[in-house]
Amino acid sequence: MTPLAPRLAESLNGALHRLFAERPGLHLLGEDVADPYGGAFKVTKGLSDRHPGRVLSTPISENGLAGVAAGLALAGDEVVAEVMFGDFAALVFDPVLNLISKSVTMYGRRLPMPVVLRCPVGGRRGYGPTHSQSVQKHFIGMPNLALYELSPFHDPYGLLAHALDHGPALLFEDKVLYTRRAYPDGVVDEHFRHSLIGDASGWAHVTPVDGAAPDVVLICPGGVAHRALAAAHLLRDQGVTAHLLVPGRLYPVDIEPVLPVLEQPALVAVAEESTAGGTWGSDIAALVYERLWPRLRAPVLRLSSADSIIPAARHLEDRVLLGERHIAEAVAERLGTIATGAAFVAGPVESVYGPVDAAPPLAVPFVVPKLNNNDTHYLVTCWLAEDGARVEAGAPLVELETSKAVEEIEAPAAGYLRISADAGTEVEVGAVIAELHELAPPAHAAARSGAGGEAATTAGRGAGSAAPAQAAPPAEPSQPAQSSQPAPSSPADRRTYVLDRVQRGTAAVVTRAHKEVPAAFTAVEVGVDALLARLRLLSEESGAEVGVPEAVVKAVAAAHDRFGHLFGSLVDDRTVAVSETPHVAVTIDAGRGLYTPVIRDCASRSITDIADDLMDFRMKAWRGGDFTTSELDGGTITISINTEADVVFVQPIVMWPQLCMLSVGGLRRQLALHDGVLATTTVVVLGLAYDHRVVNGAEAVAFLRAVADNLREPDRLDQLVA
Amino acid sequence: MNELITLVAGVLDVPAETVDENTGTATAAEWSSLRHVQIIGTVERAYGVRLSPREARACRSVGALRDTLRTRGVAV
Repeated sequence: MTPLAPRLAESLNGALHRLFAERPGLHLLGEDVADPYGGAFKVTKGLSDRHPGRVLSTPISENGLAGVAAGLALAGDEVVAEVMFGDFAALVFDPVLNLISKSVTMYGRRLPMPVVLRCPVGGRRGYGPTHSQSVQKHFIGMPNLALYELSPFHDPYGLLAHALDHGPALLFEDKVLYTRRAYPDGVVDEHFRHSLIGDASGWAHVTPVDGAAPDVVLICPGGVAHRALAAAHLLRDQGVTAHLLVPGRLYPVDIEPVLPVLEQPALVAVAEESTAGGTWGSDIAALVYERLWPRLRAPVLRLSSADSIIPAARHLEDRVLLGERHIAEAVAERLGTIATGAAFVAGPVESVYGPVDAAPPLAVPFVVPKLNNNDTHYLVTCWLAEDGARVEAGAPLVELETSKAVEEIEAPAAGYLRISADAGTEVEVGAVIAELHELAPPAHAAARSGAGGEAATTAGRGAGSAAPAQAAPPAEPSQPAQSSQPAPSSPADRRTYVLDRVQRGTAAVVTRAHKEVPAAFTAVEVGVDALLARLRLLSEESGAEVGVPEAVVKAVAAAHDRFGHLFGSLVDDRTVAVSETPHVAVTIDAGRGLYTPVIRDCASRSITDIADDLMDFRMKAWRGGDFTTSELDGGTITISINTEADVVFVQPIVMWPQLCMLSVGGLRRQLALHDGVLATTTVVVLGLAYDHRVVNGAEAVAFLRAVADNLREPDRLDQLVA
Repeated sequence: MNELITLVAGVLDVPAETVDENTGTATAAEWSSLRHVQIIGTVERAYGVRLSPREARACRSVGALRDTLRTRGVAV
């Protein structure tokens, strides 16, 4: 029989005993922490008996005990201090803000401050307004101060040790966790498992046992984890797959390790027990927007408790504090799996959710945003996409007229547009005026926007008629016309779509290039047999792939010494700014938009370094454009890489204000005479488009030959792959 | 054992039975630089890991990919 996992209060107690045994300089302070009482929640039980003189019960003065903790730390000791109820962390705010956190770096040298303030927080114990709050948000963003939170997935010893070693820190402990058991060995229950991403303070990742990809990822601190897990079960019953991410350390936030998880679902939600406003969840949402904006399919859903004091009566407490049904309902509603208009009510959850089969397709509501502080209503002047049309996230969607201006609003997510407020109608801030559906609209609904001689506008359509009267099989907008349909030139055979943000950026660049740059083009053919042999050898030796594009980047950079003026830009009609360093931009299209990130200072770096950069950029392009601005700026020349098989050559454009773009085509095998003998050889065509105002044909050819020589001459190959 | 092969075969758009541990950049014409990126991205998503650029470049075959994932704690 498998023994039960310890309760978390017992685990915490065990962690403290172990730390006391391991760290002779460790002290513990707090109210009633000494035996026989052992702390209000018995977390410090047995410590004072075993370590007399190192566990001190203090007067009821949180401010005072925090000050003593700071003094002990400054004297070289380590301290764990217990604030009996986190609500009274307000009383330690001053010493934390002005003494404990500041002392680390305000004395001219870095001082270790191994202080951990344990703060029991949270409600659902019936303790009322001043003993139930979640105060984590008030401590976010203090330099040098780290915030941790107890969870059923993290080892309390690991958290406490990490906090002592990386402190000063606050450890928040949701009181409901004390009596709950940890989830050992990666097992949660028969439906879910968990694993740790990162170190002891990293992220717990809770997934279905079958590893199913998430429809929603619920990010939550440890105190909310059980409710989020219960919500995941409720959602599972509705056919929605939820993953959980639970951090061990709340702040500083390291979200990078979990980005691969967060870019998967239709919805990312952050659930926390505090009231809304300036919360950890808001910080997380902002980070998710910054890092995953191109990949998000819906706004991040933030869930908090009600804007209220916390009642002592349990039934009233349930109505105020965030619960599993709040989470499940909000997620289901956002995902579109809840029946329209169903409000949250207490009671069996089955009465709230309809069966999955009856649910409409997944949809993201488009809500009228607040555009100013003057108006509560705006006028829909026009829709910028047709009803039923597919729009991409970030594409212009609708124009709203406020009392001061007309503003263009972008689509919050990709999907098929279903309009519910016509142009010319006045709409209230917060009203849902459209939905973006994951699935194509039913055939008759799609036809309404274009077929039957109707103008391709929504102006003549009656309000509220967007929802189909009855179910119909979905039809792709691009479905070809049937034989009974009008001729190809008729409106019914035409569809429109709005370019996504990435493509609109590309459109702006190439349009400007064609308008402003009188470009000319030339090309050379290069034999690359020796190069390929060297690259194969290098790949084998280094254990990592190095390909032709990396070699071309290096070869172009190596030509900078002789052809520096081609790595410049035209300032005005007669002035060229020349770059002293070759920063080579490369075109990358992994099927999710064209990007031109910049590989910096290529001449002084090894080809394997360049290969790492190139791979990094390729992966970012694959992830949907996960680039920083600095990675996309500052190129002094661009290489268009089109090395797919069968590409003969590529005629690039010049990326204004640069002067040249070099292109690389695909590898081609051909027969050629070598010393009178017919033999196969592999060649590639290099092309160069150049601004003819600055560069002439002879220079262009000489530059291409120099690049080609770098790729084929044995002595130069040595330098290339060094 | 076969899940990884199925993933790779899916990206390469070839029958899974034609893919083995040696399938890679040197043996499969379908394994182009673009497919390489797609393979790495698909595997990252499937197993919830993110590989460094150097690790991604080192995954030159199914076997190398499996080794890299195992060093990252993924049971494949």
